[in-house]
Parts: sequence; structure tokens; C-alpha cells
Amino acid sequence: MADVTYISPEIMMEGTLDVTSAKGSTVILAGRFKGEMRAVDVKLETGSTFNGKIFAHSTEVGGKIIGDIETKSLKLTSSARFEGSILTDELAIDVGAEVSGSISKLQKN
Amino acid sequence: MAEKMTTIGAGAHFKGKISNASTIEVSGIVEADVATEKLTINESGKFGGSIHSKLVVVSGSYDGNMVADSVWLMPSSRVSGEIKYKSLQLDRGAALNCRVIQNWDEKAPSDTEASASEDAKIAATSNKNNPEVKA
Repeated sequence: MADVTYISPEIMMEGTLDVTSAKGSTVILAGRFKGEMRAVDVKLETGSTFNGKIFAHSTEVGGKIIGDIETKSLKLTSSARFEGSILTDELAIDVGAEVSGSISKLQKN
Repeated sequence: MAEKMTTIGAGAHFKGKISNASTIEVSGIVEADVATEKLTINESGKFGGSIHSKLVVVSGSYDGNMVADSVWLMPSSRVSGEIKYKSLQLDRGAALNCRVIQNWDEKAPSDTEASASEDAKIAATSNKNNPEVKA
């Protein structure tokens, strides 16, 4: 459990969060975050608010985001509210999700 | 997982500001200013920045200005900077390289601020009453 970074519902974080080291790689956001987030797995829970940029391997969104996501696979659940640009290879959008912005494929390295 | 507990995992590095928190556990690296109720810095955790908290438990390393009611420094802890506390437990082995102040007067800074603004007010009103002062 010490490897997971969990941001609880009441909290507000502002800044950069980098979770790309070998020890831990998962971020679960239930609160509010403003800034830049780098991780392997990112989960934005229902009720969370994110403002900024996400770089991740896989991302699941159930909250509200304004900003950019760059991720290999992205899932927007029915409670997701998204505004911004998406760069991804695999995309799933559930019925009910509100998405506005641009969607494009990740560039091959 | 406790709902109101925020965890900064062992591989995580956060830089910025944390507010409106209740319980925070740090196993990774945090460079931030934090206001919370309870803060734990685990053995693998490193924290730099100011802390305002009711309870702080340190097993890892800390550098900064801490203001807390209760501070518990575990045997593996390393602390530098400044600690303002009401009660402190220091375990054998803890490395403490800092300024420690017990029972600081919490109201002192706001009192001086208040009196300072009061002075400013008086100055402002006296200026109003004596416009020739300006000229």
C-alpha cells in the first residue's frame, strides 16, 4: 500500500507529482489537483477535479478534467467530464461521459 | 484504505502546495508547504518545507519549519530546520539538528500584525487630520 499514491477527497494539491520510479507507479486522485502528473497508472475517481497535464501509461477518468492527457490507454467512465486534448492509442468512452476537445493518436517513437 | 488519508507512495515525488488536508502519510519525496491535522513521514519518506499540523510523526527525514502541537521523532528520524511544538517525544537514535521551541505563543505573530495594522490606521487617520504633513 505504501507504493500507491492516494489523494483523498477533501484535499487540494497544487504542483508537480512524479510517480515514474520503479518503487511505486500508481496514483489515485479523489480530491483536487492542479498541475502536472506523471505516473504509470492514473485513476481519477468520481468527484475528483484535475486541472493541468497528465502523462501516464494507462489512465481512467471518472472525475472532472480540464487539460491535456497523454496516455497509452484511456478510459472515460460515465461520470467523466473532460475538456482539453487527448493523445492516446486505446480509447474507451462510456455512455454518459462528457467530452469536448481534440482526440488524436500517440506519435510512434 | 481510510477515506480521508492521503498517501504519497514510495516512488512518488511531489513538489508544490497541499491544502485542506486531514491526514497525510509520506513514503516518497515531498517538497511542499502543508497544513494538515496529522502528518506521518515514513522511514522511506523525505519531506522538505513547512508543516502546520496538530500531530507530526517522523521516521524519515525532514527539513523545514514545523509548527505542531505534538511531535514524535522516531529512532530512524533525521530532522533539520526548526520545530515549534507543545509536546515532543524524541526516541533514542533520532538525529535532531535543528532549533526547537516549546510552547510558542501562537497568538504572538497575529497580535503584532494586528498592532502593526492598527499603527498604520492611526498613521493614516493622523495624516488625514493633518493634511499639511503630506505637503
